[in-house]
Parts: sequence; structure tokens; C-alpha cells
Amino acid sequence: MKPFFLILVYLFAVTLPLILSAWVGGPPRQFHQELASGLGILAFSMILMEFILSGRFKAISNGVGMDVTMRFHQIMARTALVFAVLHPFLYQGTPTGGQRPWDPTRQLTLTNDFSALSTGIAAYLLLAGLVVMAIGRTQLDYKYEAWRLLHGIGALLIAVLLLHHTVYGGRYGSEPVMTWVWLVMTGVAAGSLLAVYVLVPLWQKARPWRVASVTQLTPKQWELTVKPEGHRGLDYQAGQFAWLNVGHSPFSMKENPFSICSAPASGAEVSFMIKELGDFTRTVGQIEAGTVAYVDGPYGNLSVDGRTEPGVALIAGGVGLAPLLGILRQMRLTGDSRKVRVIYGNRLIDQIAYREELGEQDVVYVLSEPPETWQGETGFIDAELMDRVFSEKEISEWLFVMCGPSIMMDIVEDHLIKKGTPSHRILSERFSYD
Amino acid sequence: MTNPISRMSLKRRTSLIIWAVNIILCLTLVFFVLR
Repeated sequence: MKPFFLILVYLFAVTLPLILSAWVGGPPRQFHQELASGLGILAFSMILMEFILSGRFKAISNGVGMDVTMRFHQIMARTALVFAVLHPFLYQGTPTGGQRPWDPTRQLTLTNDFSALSTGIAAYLLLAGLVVMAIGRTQLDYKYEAWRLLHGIGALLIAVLLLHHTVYGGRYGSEPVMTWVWLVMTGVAAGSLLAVYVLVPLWQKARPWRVASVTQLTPKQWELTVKPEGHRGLDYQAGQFAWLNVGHSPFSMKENPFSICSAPASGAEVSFMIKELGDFTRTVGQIEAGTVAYVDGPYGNLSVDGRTEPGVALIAGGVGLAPLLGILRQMRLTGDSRKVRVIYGNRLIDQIAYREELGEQDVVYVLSEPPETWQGETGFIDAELMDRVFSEKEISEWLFVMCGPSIMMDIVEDHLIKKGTPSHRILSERFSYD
Repeated sequence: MTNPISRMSLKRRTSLIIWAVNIILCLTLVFFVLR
């Protein structure tokens, strides 16, 4: 029900300016002029809602999942761009100039005020740049912090430019009611950035953590454990994740999201399983115990708490083990009576982490490039493997929790659905959203 | 009868929701233009 409610709220917020404009904006003009204005109004409200869909609001991302929230954010930005791109061209042929005395509702002319048009053009170009940069983010290989800063500042600039363009250039935006609506909506959008980059760091500053240990698990995977300093720590569920900042000011952009691999039942210390992939993760091994850290979370909806299925299947690929290990640890610590079985896939044998702790019973290790002496499963986690590991009854009754590469999750999820597992019994968390 | 949505993967459900939202936005636009 929560996703449905969130969609209704989104639709209400995005369409409100358009509906109010139709109500207060005077008589309609020709079809193409109204379409141009309507597209511009929708594009602006969609852009403002993108701030709220940025993934840092638990009421949204913990309800539907961070991956779904971010996918929605990405696609709606592209729709907004298409609407914005069409907006000026559809005014073709409309006379420009100041308001005529006989035309109080500006039915006949477009503004030719230079400042109002220039802010629109600047926002137009910036928006296209921002979306293209976001789509090409992985190829362009920015530093993560630089990317966040550019995206945030760019988006804020677009919102402010569009507010000016809409209020001073728009036929509808210049109506007092609409000016207030746009001011409030832009204020909420800018306020969301303020919350993420100022208020949350202020709260974090008062709740510091210290690095308790850094342990090398495999040649490129580490476990980093932090303990709260002077506060109770994090109220999280096994399987969730948090944004971690180690050794920097809470106001810096140097924070990254990592899955929590510890169990809430194990105490206040929180552990993260980290794979060397980018700027920060490559330096994890150099972090010293005692370094100050800040944790923002928990996020995500990958949790088996409160579920009534008789068994839980945990299917992990590589570092995707992290949240599932948290779930497994919590189940073991609390004496959970549900059956549990783990499938854990890697490429090489020395990439298997926590093997001693995971054990051999009800844990299936899979290697795609096994050594000659390997006795376990080989290849990838696919339909055939799932059928070997789980009975028909288990596939139809158990809860399946997955985390790992997209291709693995697509294959497993499609197979489970084909075999009759209802989608509400398949939980997943994706690292990439495309 | 099984709910068809419960037979869809999360990716497909997300995609369906995005399509539905886009269509509703376009319908609102049509209402605005043709009022």
C-alpha cells in the first residue's frame, strides 16, 4: 500500500501547478501555445520533485527500496528533459512583446523580457547537461564526491533559474497564486538539499563514531567496524545500509553508501563489508582504528523481520553478501526458527569471504573460475542451480532475498517467478540502477 | 486467479509504474490543453 500512496503523493505534487494554472490562468490560447506552457509547467514541477526523489529520504526509499527510488528519479528526469526540450519550440509563430492594454490575461503575446528568457535558456542548457552527465556518469569516471557536488549545485541552479523564468516570463507563473505555489515548491526542493547537506551533518556531528577495527577478508574485500561514541548507535534492521564517512568533516561530500553486515542483536558496533572499487574503497586498508567516522542511516528495505515464510533463501553474488550476512547473523543470534539456506557466488576461490563463519551446512558456494581441486558448485547462479538447491515446495513457500550483480538477480528472479514464487516473496537490493 | 502484478519482476513492476505515471501526466496535460 505504501508504494501506491507514494505514487499518489508524487502525482498530486507534480500535477498541482498545472491544475491550478488551468483554474486561475485566464482563457486558453491556441492548442500549441497551451501545450508549450503545459509542458514547461510539468517539466518544472517534475524537476522540483527530483530533489525529494534523491534517495536520502527514508520515508520514500525505506518504503519502496533505494534502487526503485533512484530508478524512478532517473527516468522522471529524462521525461522532464523531453518536456522541457519541446517547451520553447511549440511557441513558434506566437507574437512577442509587452502586455497589450486590450489583453490583460496575456492571451495574445509572449514576453520578450530579456532576463526572463535568458534564465529559461540557461536552465534549458544546464538541464540537458545535467541529465547527459548523469547518464554518462560511469563512462565519464568522475570522483564520486565531485559528481555529487556538481549534480546538487547544478540542480539547485536549474531550480532557481526556472523559478525566475516561470514567474517573470510565464503567463501562468505570473499569477499571484501560481507565484506562491512555485515559491513554496522551490523552497521545499532547496530545503531538501539543506536537510541533506547541512541539517543531517549537524546531527551527525553530535553523534560521532570511531573506527573499532579494519579487517582484510580477501585480497580486495574488507570489514570495517565502527562503534558509537557517546550515543546509543544506529537503530537498524539486518540487511539495511548506511552512508559512511570516515575521517572527514560531516559536512564534506566524502561519504559512501555501504551495506551493513553486522546484526543489530550483536550490539552497538556496526560493521560494513567493503570491496575495493573506487577512490575511497581503495584506501580502506590504510584506515587506522580510532579514526572518527559518521554514519547516516539506516536505509533500504531488504529485511526479513516480521516475515512469516517457513524458510529464508539468501542468494549473494560477491560483495552482495554484506546485507545477507547481516540477516544470517541476526537469525543465528536470535535463534530464529525459520530454515535458512545460502547461495554465495564468486569468480575465484580467494574471493570467498567469511567462509569459516558461514560454514558448510546449508551454504552453497559457487565459483565461476574454480581451481582444479574445487569440489563445490561451478558456473554462475542460474536457474539450474536454483532447482538443484531448492525443492519445488521451498521455491513456492520460502522468502528469497538477493543481492549481487544485476544479471544474477535478473536470472534468479525471472526463474523464481516462472516457477510460481509470488513477487512479494522476492526481496532484492541492486547496486546499480540502470 | 493470480494477481498478474505478483507474477512480475521488480524491474518490470518499476517499469510499469513509471509508464503509468508518465501516461497520467500526459493525460493531465491533455486536460490542460483542451479545457
